[in-house]
Amino acid sequence: MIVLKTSDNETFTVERDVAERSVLIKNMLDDIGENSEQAIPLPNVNSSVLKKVLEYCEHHRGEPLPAADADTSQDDTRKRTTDISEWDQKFITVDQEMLFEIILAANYLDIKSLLDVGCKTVANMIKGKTPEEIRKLFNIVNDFTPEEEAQIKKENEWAEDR
Amino acid sequence: MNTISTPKRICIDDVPNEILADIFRWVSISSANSLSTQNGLYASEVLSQVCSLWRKLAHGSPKLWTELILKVNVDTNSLNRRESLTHWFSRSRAVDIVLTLDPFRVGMQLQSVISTVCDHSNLWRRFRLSLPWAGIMSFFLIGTLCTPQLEELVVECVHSNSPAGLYPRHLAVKEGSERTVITDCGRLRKVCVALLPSFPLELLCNLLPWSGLTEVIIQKPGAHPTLIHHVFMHCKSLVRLKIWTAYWRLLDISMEPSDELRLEHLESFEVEADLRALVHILRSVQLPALKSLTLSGIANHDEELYPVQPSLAVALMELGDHAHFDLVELKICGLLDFCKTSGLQLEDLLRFLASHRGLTSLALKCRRREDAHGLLNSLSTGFLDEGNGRLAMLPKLTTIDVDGDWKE
Repeated sequence: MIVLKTSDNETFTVERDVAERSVLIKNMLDDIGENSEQAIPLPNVNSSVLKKVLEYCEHHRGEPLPAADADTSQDDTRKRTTDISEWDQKFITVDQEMLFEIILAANYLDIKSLLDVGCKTVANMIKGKTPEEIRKLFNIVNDFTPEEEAQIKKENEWAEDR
Repeated sequence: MNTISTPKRICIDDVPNEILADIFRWVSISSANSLSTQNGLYASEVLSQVCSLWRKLAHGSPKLWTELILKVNVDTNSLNRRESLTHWFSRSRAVDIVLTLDPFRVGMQLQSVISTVCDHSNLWRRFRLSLPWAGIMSFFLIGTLCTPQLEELVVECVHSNSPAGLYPRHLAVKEGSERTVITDCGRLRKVCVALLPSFPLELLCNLLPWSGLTEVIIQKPGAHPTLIHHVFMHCKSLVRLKIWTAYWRLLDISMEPSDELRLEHLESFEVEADLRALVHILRSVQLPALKSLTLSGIANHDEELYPVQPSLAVALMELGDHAHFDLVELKICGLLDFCKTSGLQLEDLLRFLASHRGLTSLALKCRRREDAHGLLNSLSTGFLDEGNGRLAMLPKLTTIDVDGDWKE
């Protein structure tokens, strides 16, 4: 069993193969050796987020990990799909703040499949919306200069004509 | 005074740029070939219009600018169009382009668009040109195009009202006109053309080095037989070939058996043609690597007045005699009409099948149900092994599909 310590000082005891869904944790375990009872500190992840992340890792334990170069080869063959499995969809149905927390944690812990689920979810939220709707959805400020606004106007005229 | 610090709420602004770029990529993939429904913008353009950070990030992500569908209309500010197109290309490293034209709104802009698109031919990865006659001709008179990334080229003439049965003389290309020649195209493997049979052959033959292609598709409204001859003569790397052609009698064209018409690597051959064209092609070529053969008939009433010699059955057997091949898949559509003498007769078919014992898939589509029933009966009585229910003459056959509802 492995002990993980979060930024708010909570500890989680998990089985090694579950924890090793995270490449970061796997590398740390490789470094400190088999028999260490030391808690692994995760200063960038709080307990509520780690709980969610471990739920994901538990569900996907035993599945093959993506190869390091999977991203590039998938791009080349254009096989990447935005489909999300039913379980993952249910898992990622959280409020916006938790969604971005999970994305940041997946990035920090290096859990590629979870990062993809998070990014695809945000992508699906964006898809089909206008720039204004996206700004509203994510509370983004329109900070374009007048020159950029003029350029955008031209782009939109071109789009109408295509 | 004590202050209570509340943890900062995480939002999209906290997402690192590389992850945001990945999200953009997912948006782009899921929106491929579709425009944002409300304003006609591509997903990449929508992303670049949200805020200055997103704009910078989107413009710096070449993968977002890899698909461009242009439908050329009238009443466009051509300067704006040229500028916008140039900006698009400047953000990309390789583009799949679909260029179409609304024939009911043709303006003077087409030439300018084609010329701007062709100025960036070095970025083309897949190029699909789908235009009426005038637009196609503009493309063929551009000059030299360097296309180091081009993998697939589709040139199709659309909205043509010319009857496929008419073969006017080849249209002349003005003396001194600059012809389009595609050079530096080492990655080009697939070419699909759908042009009028009267299209000037010299423009097509000189368009590109045909020898490296592995896949050629010649679609409706068909190609001049000389182009088909050209393909067999020059496309020596072909693995897949698909042809639509008809009405050869009007041209008094023939193809004669020749060792030069040998395609050493061709594995898949699909021909949709009337009888004369089928017979000429099949009896003339050599396809030693052939594994999959599809023959589909195009009805041509002319053939009743001017019977085709030799018969399709003879031509088919000659195809096997010129170069032995081991077929795995055979599909014959519309050529099995046992009431007429012009098509393949039952005994011809059975003889051909008997010489291809390695077939695993067989599809026979008759025009009439009676023929399909007769065919099934004959296959059962002549080939079926009662012991295991399999066709004794075709022991590897796993799929058989016989029906009598085939329509062109």
